[in-house]
Amino acid sequence: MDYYFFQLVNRYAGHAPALDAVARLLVNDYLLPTAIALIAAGLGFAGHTPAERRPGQRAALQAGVSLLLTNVLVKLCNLFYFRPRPFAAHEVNLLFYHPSDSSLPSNPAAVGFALAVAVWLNHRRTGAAMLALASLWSLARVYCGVHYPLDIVAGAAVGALAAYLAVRRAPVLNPVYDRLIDLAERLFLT
Amino acid sequence: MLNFVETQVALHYFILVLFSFGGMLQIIAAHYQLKGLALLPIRWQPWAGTLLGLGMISSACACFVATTPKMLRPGPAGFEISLLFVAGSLLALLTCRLTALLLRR
Repeated sequence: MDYYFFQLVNRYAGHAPALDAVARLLVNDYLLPTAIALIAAGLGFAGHTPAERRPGQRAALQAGVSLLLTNVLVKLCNLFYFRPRPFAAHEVNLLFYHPSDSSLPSNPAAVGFALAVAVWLNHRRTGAAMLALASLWSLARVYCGVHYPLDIVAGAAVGALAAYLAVRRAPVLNPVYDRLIDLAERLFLT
Repeated sequence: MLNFVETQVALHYFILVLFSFGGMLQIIAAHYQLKGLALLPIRWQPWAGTLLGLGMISSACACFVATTPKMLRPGPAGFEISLLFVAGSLLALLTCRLTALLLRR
């Protein structure tokens, strides 16, 4: 079933040069993740006054914590389960290098969705834009032949869980966020 | 121990973050009239700052794509990329703060 959906997306790779060029721009580890992180970081500067900026600054810090947490969760998953990449088990149209880590959960999906969901829980519109970017990044991974769709779903679930825990279930961190923001204000960094 | 695998890719990524973060700051400074970050006079905002910011981001991305053919090969891992992002964004923030301060004197 998973392989069927994988083929539905991946079968077009290598056949449409324009689509492949766009996919190569989207799939790499640099452009889309940087765009997602830039939006999250930018929230910390949005506002006319320090009081207006504080909720965004807290959201940006929560996104950072959810990123750390999602990395821990993905590493834990990888300790107990290894799924070979699609290109290791099937004939695929590969437009990317051969990553050697586990296919499930997808690390890029986990990272993208952790940042996006953490922001979405605070700022719906900004978070929705980030979710769209994270989805594009994930779809490009399937198109380029390095992940199955289920890897993406699992990665997104891990990222969303990490974001939920960091934003909704860690009130103990709120004073830490406030202290960090105060420190940044004293250093003229906000 | 840090392992950037491809030093050139890491350097290009650092430059990408430096300019795109600077561009993002200019867009926000233009939108919220933040004198402490804006590199252009406040009376020209929001259009000038927004254009400058969009120009910085799009040229940083274009330069990165054009000069980094190894973009689709194994490069810096997640931790190294995060470190480069933090370093590049901090440098961009400090540069914008200092330049804005000097321009207003």
